Amino acid sequence: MKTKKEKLAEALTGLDETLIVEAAEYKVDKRKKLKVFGAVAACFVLVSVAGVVLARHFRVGPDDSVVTDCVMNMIDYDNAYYEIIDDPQILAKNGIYEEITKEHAGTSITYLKYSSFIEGVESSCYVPTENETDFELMTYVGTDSKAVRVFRMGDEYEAALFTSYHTDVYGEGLPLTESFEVYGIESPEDIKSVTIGTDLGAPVNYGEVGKVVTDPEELIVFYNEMIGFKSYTLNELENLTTADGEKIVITTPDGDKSVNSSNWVKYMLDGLVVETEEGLKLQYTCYESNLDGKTEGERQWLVYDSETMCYHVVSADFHEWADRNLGKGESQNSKAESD
Amino acid sequence: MEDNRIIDLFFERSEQALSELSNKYGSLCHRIAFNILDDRLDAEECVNDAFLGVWNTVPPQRPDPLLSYVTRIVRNQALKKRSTNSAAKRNSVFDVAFEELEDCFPTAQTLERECDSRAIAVSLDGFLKKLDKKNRVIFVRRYWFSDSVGEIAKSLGMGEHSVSLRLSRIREKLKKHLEKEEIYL
Repeated sequence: MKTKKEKLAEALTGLDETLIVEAAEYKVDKRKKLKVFGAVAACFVLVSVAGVVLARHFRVGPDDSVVTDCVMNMIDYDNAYYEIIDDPQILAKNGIYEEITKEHAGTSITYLKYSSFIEGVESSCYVPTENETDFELMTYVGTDSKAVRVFRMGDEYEAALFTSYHTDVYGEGLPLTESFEVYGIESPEDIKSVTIGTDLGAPVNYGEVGKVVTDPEELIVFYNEMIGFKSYTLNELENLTTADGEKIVITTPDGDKSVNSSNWVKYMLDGLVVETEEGLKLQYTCYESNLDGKTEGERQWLVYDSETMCYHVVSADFHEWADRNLGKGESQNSKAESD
Repeated sequence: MEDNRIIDLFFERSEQALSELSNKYGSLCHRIAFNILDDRLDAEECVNDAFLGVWNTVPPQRPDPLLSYVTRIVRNQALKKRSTNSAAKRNSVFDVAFEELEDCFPTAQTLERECDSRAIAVSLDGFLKKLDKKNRVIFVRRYWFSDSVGEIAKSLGMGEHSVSLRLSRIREKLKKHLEKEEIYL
């Protein structure tokens, strides 16, 4: 009798051959954009006429077909992606009003049109247009930062949250100043508070809040340490090995997973939450790893930054900072002694 | 060289057929085998076995498309080799991807409710054909070709985060689809 794994492997092997060929031969073809643009534009007009509700649930496919199961709702603007979010929990987590209305929309940034292709790449995104349309990207009242914008669809308003920069913007790890900049943090004074879990790996949104740090001196240490972390992209991390030749493995709440796991999205829990003076909340996930040849029991912490999709190696001083503020171990004692 | 011409060479029993097959699909086949076996020598051996399999079956068969024919043989060979290789490394791209997908499938409470692999394949085909092309390609690259998130992102000109996010959402949809269709592992 076949095991479940064998059955699933066999089922996958038996997938329709057209799907296999399609995936193997799928290429970014810039010429394709010109060929299909007219048809896509025509369909886009039809969908727009049919109304905003239809437009949100039916997408025009690259071959003029209507795709009814579009997964994403993204905006591609200024070398970055924004995701249109209406989940009140996510909005609250980011320090944003749970229901976005006209009152939350500031000034117009650009009109948008729906496009299945950007630079020849199938994208299914809203992109800027000079023509007046029913779709508009606007500023969010209370901040000039890139972190949050307002997306207008006719008379409806939703939040558009900064997701990440285009991948071709960076080929190597970027410092944490990049994501700070997205949230308008240019110095420690722009940080209102930092919330840490009961340990670096204990996610804040699991209700295990260890400490909310508001002491200006501690926030200066936090800022200066964070911007000095060594950074790696996922690709860089995948190509690293330990001194023993082992691949780099990060630890997630359900055990070890390779860094190339797409499952890590569901573990994007917030080990660190940085609240800006404007009230926006920037979340970082913390992972343990076997980076830097740490021996068993001395795992290296990494901070993951979803804005730049980079991993940052936590310094010993930062670890001390976290322990001190959590009231743990010798760090706390030594601070108390020095005080 | 066009697939038809390569197949003609197989029919002529010309050894050039193998070198042309290797030129055209060798790197793709090697990638599939390596993703499953995580060992270059094993992958090489597996691809050679698969090409020999094509030599032995063409003729009489005239596969169309050749790509899916040869890659399917490679995948089968690699899976077979993996199951017999007790020293196979774990935590490879294949393992990680496989576990992600396995989590989507509801478990049958009784043996009678278990579906066979053909029924699962038909259900997966139906699900994938309802997705838009890009999401379909991402899914097949991840779970059929066992490509890493980084490789998929690079080849599709996307961010790794976007690829992961899409995969995560596709899996959520797949889970609902499988529950609705009562597909149990």
